Order: sequence, then C-alpha cells, then structure tokens
Amino acid sequence: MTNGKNRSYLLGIVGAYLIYLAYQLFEGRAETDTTMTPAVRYVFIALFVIAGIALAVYAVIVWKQSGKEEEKEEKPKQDETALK
Amino acid sequence: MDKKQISAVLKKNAMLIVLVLVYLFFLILTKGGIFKPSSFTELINQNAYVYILGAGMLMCMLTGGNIDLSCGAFVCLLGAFGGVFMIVQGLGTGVSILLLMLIGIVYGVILGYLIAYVHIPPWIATLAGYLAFRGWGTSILSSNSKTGSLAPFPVDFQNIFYGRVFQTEKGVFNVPCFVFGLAMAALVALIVFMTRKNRLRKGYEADSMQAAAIKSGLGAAVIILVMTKLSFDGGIPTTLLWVAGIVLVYSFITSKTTIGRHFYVVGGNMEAARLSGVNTRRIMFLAYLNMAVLTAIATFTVIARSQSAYADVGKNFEMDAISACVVGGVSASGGAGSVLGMVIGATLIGVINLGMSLISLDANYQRVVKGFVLLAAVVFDILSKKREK
Repeated sequence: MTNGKNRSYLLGIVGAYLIYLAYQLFEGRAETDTTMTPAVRYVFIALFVIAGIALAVYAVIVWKQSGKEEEKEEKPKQDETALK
Repeated sequence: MDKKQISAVLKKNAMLIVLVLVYLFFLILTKGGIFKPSSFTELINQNAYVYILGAGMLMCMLTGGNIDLSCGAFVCLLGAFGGVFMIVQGLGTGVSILLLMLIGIVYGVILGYLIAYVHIPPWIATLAGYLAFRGWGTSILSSNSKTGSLAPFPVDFQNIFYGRVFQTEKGVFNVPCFVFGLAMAALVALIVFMTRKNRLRKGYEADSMQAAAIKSGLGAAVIILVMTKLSFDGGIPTTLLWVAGIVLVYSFITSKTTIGRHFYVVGGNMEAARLSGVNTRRIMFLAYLNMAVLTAIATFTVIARSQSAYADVGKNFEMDAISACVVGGVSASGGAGSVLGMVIGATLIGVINLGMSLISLDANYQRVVKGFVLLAAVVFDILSKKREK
C-alpha cells in the first residue's frame, strides 16, 4: 500500500465526514430553538456537500495517480528481472 | 532579524500563531470568560481524549497516512465493559482497569496483526471495528440496564481519572499547585538549554542563545499561567497529569528513540525503510497496538468525566483525533508531524469548541465551524504537497 493511496483514503474520509455534517444540518431543519435561519442552513449544507464531493473526487484522482506511480516503479524491476 | 528569518519563523510557528489569535478572538468575544480558571480546567477535561487519541493517531499517520476509524466505537465498547465490571459485577477498580487494558491489548494485537502481517488495508480493518463495536457496546449496555446506560462509576475510579491533586476549595489560592507549576516551568527552561548545549557539543546546528531564551521563557510563562489559573480552581486535574505524561512520553519516543525515528522512516518511504533493515511490519503492528492501548486510557478519562457508560459515548472521536493531527501539521501521506504539532492542533480545536459553548453559539453553527476548520487544514495540506512537488 503506497502512501499516496493512504492519503487518498484519508481525503475520501474527510470528504465523507463533510457530507455527514451536511446531513446533520439537514436533519436538524425542523428544529425550532435554533438561531440558524433556513436560508443560511441550506447554504451551509450546499457548501459542505460540494466540498465533500470535491474532496472525494480529488481522493480518486490521487488514488489513480499513486496507482500509476506504483506501476512505473514495478516496470523497471520487471525489466531488470527479464535482463537477468 | 531580516525579512527572510522573520518569514521562516512565522512559517515554522504558523499554527501556534493561529492558536494565539483564535484565543485572543474568543477572549474578546467571551469578555474574558475563556480566561477564567474554570475555563482552563474545562479545556483540559473536555479535550483530554483528543490529546490521548491524537498521540495514537499521530503514530499511525506517521507510518504513511494510516488512520484508525474504530477508536470512537472502541471507546463505547470499553465503556460498556467498564460499566459491567465496576458497576454490575462490582469488581474492584484496579482489577477492572487491568481487564480493560487487557481487552485493549488483545484488540490491538489482532488489529496490528491483520494490518501488518495479513496486509488488510488499515481503513478497512478499522472500519469493521467502527461498524461492529458500537452495536456490541450498545447491546451490552441494554442487556445490563433498563435505561441503556450504566452509572455511577466508583469514586476511586473517578478520582484517578477525573479527580484533583493538591485539592483545595475553589477560589482559594492553591500554593502546592503553584509551586508545582514553577518547578515544571524551571524544568522546561532547563531542558531547552541542556538540549542546546548537547547539540553544540556534538557539533549540530542549535538555536542561538537569544532564541533558546525566548523559547524557554515563553514555555515557562505558559506553564506558570496555566498552573496559576488551576491554583484558583481547586488544584491540578488528574486528567492533566495523564495527558501531560502521555504527551511527554510520545514526544520523547518520536524525537529521541530509534524506534520513534523508524515510524518516520516507514512513513517517508516504506520500501527504502525495509531495504535499510527496518522491520516495517513490526512498526505497523506497534502503531495499531499502541493506538488500541491509548484508546483504553482515553476511555477511562471519558467515562470518569461523564460518570456513566452510554451508547453515544465516543461518537466522532476518530474525526476529532484526525482533525487534531491534520490541523497540527501531521502529513496525510505520512513521514512528517510531531507531538507538539498535534497538541497545538488539539488545543486549537478545544479552544474553538470551548469558546463557542461559552458564547452559547447554536449547535448548528458549531458543526459548521468544526467542518470549516477541518476543511481548511486539509486544503492547506493539499497546497503544501503541491508546492513540494
């Protein structure tokens, strides 16, 4: 497991957590004893969902990039073995 | 000092400066409320679990950005077992603590073995715990209690993990507490100068006398300030001693021991570490065994403070620990980070949480702030990584 892949998992988890926070805000929309207006609530929900999805997409990009780097590292090793 | 030097100092201490600015912000907003003695005690007691779990999460993240998603749910499970041992079965505090530590060790051994030797990705192995342990803990609690929670824990257990040392009445100046603070401040100053002297003797680069004096002066001032505040709030919380002990031990391990350096090397480049003779599997195993043991200690502080074991305990603890590490500058790809950074990150999050509750900020806004702090830290990490490349 490369560090790049681990990093992508952490980024994905943070993205999921932001979406979870958005869900918690959405769940609390029926609360009456809150100072947060519905408009502000939905703005923050949208911001967190967008940020969460963006992080998840970036996590996938990082994962793919680290996969390609792993393949590049393995290819010279295989070439060396073939030469032997 | 020229512009370049000032810029370097600011960059190196960025999170510390942010912490000071955020504290000053809440000092104004709370009209001094965050500077009261009770606020210092509350900051320590409320966030003890973050420091303890943060130390464990740091060791995991150093090995390559690995995390433990199960620590929060494991706190719930251990809390349930603790309630059964101490309240239902009536076992002694000492025996119960040993049994809970043993459960922590067994889980750590299994988890460490699965990750290090069977090569199950850490996030999958710990996700299983995240999903299973809370259900297991909840079923233990509901089968042993009609209310679904177990309380109260024995007084001696609470005294060990949520008591006070040199206890006096609140509002009365506690002389032993203050003297202890002076002693600790002197010790910190001594360590800074001794470290500088050793480095110079070995021919390494060391801080200038001026820098060392400033460092030790600031460190001593913070310790004396905190201990003076605690002197007026009834004494030193035992939670602080647990947190300080763990922070000092892990600070020593990560900076002064070979095995501590191995954690950084494994996180920097695992293949190079393996080829250099580092037992990478053992390091991964130890990271997760260590995390499980620290989770057990964090559980003691949490259930002693809440004086009960309940199903929701430990919710989102793993995210709090990860946030403390990421905000404190621990690299998401591993190989970089420090205990001091984690402590600053945890303290920053703790100050924000405490400040928000002192101004009675709506819980929804508190969630928003928490989310933005974590997002800012991750974005900062991504930008730092891009700049490196």
